[in-house]
Amino acid sequence: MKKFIILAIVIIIGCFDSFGQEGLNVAQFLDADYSGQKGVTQVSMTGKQLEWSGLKKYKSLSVTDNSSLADKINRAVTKDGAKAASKKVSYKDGQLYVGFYSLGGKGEHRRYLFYLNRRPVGEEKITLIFLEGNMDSNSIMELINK
Amino acid sequence: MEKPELHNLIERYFDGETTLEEERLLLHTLLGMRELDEECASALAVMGYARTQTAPRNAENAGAILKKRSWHRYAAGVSVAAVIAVFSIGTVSNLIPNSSSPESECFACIDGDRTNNEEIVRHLIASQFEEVSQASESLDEEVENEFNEICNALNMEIL
Repeated sequence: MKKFIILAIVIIIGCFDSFGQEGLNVAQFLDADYSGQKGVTQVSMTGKQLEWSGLKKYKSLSVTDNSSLADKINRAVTKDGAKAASKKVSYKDGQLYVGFYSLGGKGEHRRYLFYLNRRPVGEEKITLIFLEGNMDSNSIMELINK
Repeated sequence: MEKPELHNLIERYFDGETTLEEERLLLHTLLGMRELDEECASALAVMGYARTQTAPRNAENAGAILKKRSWHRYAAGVSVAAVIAVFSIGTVSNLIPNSSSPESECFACIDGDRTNNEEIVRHLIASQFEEVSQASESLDEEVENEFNEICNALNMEIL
């Protein structure tokens, strides 16, 4: 009985883990409402209006001159990055400077995370981008470099 | 079963000399008793039917055990159904496009001001892609430079 309950919990967690950006530490920042908050630029595009890109979901957050929020996002990115299927990262002065993460997922639920931290080069700004869609990492880079 | 016979059986049980049939008979007899003396109670405890203070002392409690067992079976059945349901919902929502997200969403919040203008949003996406593209290029350059440095160092050593 106990074994069965443990198995059931594992299966349920597995199911929920495959849903959208749920399960990511950065989700709480990407989904928050920043109306009226200076220094924050939030972008969200999903569904039909994003068809031109081949993506299903685009969410981003740029934070300028808000070190407290930037620190929290940095920690969340580091946590999510640790679980990434593949990554390309660069550190400057001991700080995460650039991070490209492939977070796995299947079909149109493939997820990618991009993080740019300008703080090591003296600019108090971070940019976080979350992408979801049925695209491999090469297609994503092609889209970005267009 | 008479008391002396029962005690003899208990004694043989503790000595490990009873057969499975005798153990079943002993358990059945003990569960059916209204009052248990010390020896009978410890035999019942050792037989694993007195794990808590609410151990069965009579036939009514034996019925309670059966009820508890059937409840466990019922709970297991419900758990199986719940797992299948959750798994099915997960699979179906993965198959149906956009089932877990709204049909379409497009907005930007710039310095606290919200806009639903698609052109502005697309412009922001384009500029953020450009930022990422530049960062990617600089990262590739960095990796290439480091490779070159390693190659140069190795060549120096070989020479």
